[in-house]
Amino acid sequence: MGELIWFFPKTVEEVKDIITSREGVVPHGGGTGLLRGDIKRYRGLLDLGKLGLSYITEHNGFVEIGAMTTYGDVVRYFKKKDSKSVLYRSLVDSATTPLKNRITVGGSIAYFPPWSDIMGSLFILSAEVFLTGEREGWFKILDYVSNRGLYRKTVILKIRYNKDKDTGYSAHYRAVRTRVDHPAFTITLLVDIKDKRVDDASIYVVGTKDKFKKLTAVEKEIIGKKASEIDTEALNVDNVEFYGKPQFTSEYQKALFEIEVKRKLREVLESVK
Amino acid sequence: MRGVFIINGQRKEIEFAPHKRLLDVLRENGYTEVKEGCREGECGACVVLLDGKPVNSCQVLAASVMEKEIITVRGLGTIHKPHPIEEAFVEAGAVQCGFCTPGMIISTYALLKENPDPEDDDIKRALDGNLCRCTGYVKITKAVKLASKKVKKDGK
Ligand SMILES: Cc1cc2nc3c(=O)[nH]c(=O)nc-3n(C[C@H](O)[C@H](O)[C@H](O)COP(=O)(O)OP(=O)(O)OC[C@H]3O[C@@H](n4cnc5c(N)ncnc54)[C@H](O)[C@@H]3O)c2cc1C
Ligand code: FES
Ligand code: FES
Repeated sequence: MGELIWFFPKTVEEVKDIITSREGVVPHGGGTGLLRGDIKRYRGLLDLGKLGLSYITEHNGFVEIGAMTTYGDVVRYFKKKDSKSVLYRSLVDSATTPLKNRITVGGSIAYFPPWSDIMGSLFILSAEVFLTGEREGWFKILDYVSNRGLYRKTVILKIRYNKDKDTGYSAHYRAVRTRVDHPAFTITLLVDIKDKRVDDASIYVVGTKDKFKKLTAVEKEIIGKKASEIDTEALNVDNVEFYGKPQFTSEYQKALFEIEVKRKLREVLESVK
Repeated sequence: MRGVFIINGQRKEIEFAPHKRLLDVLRENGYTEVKEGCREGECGACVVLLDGKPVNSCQVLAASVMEKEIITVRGLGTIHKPHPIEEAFVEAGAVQCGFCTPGMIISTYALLKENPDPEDDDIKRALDGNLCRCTGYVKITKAVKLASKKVKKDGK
């Protein structure tokens, strides 16, 4: 195999040209996921560092985040702007401080490991990814993660979500042994309250056998009810299966999951004034 | 491949293999103060400042940071002219074997730049990527607090 070639495009046109025309060339975001494997198996790496993709803006009711924005950038931004944001809650305790300065939003969506702290919040926010390459334009994040055709020979340039989606009470649970552990799974939830009633709810668990699952049974059971009257202990939690992981067995994860969904939901509902 | 790195304020042109990690490029070029622990992003022994922010140099492909500013612990102070953070670590007894210390100092430097008066919780968070097998962290936390006072006094 020949020597690994690096590409440093300065325009989106160059990115598109390289990703569509060269075999064995993959995007390079922060490199933390790529380095888990054998980097030499690639023919080339397409570095996205010279395209100005590290930014967060808010316009026309949308929050837009460049693909090269790091977890650290997101945490610093929302700590000042809106520490109730579900993205902030999901990322503030993820990985470690130096890793957060390297892990990119775009790379984390494309990589989507079972321990991902970001994906639950992006599902809840109905985020969209903007792609270039063999497919171009805005795509729903749920389509991106379930359709290999959107992943192959494409590059995520940015993501966006409607700000109105991020107005409720949110929480994020990480199944870890110590805070800096990889989570075995995560639970992310956002509950909208109107007149002390649950107006809407969105709950995702990431790291399951099916990679992730929306907890529709729990959502249905609480929507429309008065927050103070919901007995979280009595909720029928959706059936979710886990693979055994180095840190926890599948049975343990299942038990932990059921306890923690109820606990996080109770915390959120109790915080409703 | 060849590339320029700005290491501790000096432009260095370095020949390196395209798959190399920043950690290896630094150590192979004399910056052995950057320590290699786990190579997996878990221990923080290899932490350097990259454009002012702490990163695990074992998790960075060197080619992706050409022309960027890298600061190792040697860029902060020397044995004859130590940085106040380094003095604080020694005075607080926060150094035993010393293997984690370069990474700890870099993370402390980044913390104090952003937050000159950190509380215990801020310190825990900022140093969450730096493991120490010797001290038990109590003295490290004390050292960071002492460093905060010293840095404010020295204006560094
Ligand atoms: C020790 C350690 C602990 C971690 N802990 C956590 C944790 O607790 N929670 C968490 O959420 N994450 C955690 N991570 C991060 C996670 O495991 C991945 O490494 C990370 O999300 C990948 O992001 P990256 O920017 O480094 O991507 P890269 O390594 O650059 O890329 C990963 C994959 O995505 C592709 N890619 C990169 N950018 C793009 C793009 N813009 N468009 C399309 N494809 C792209 C690459 O080709 C590659 O296939 C941890 C990582 C490490 C090393
Ligand atoms: S050697 Fe880099 S984090 Fe351990
Ligand atoms: S002093 Fe030995 S590892 Fe920290």
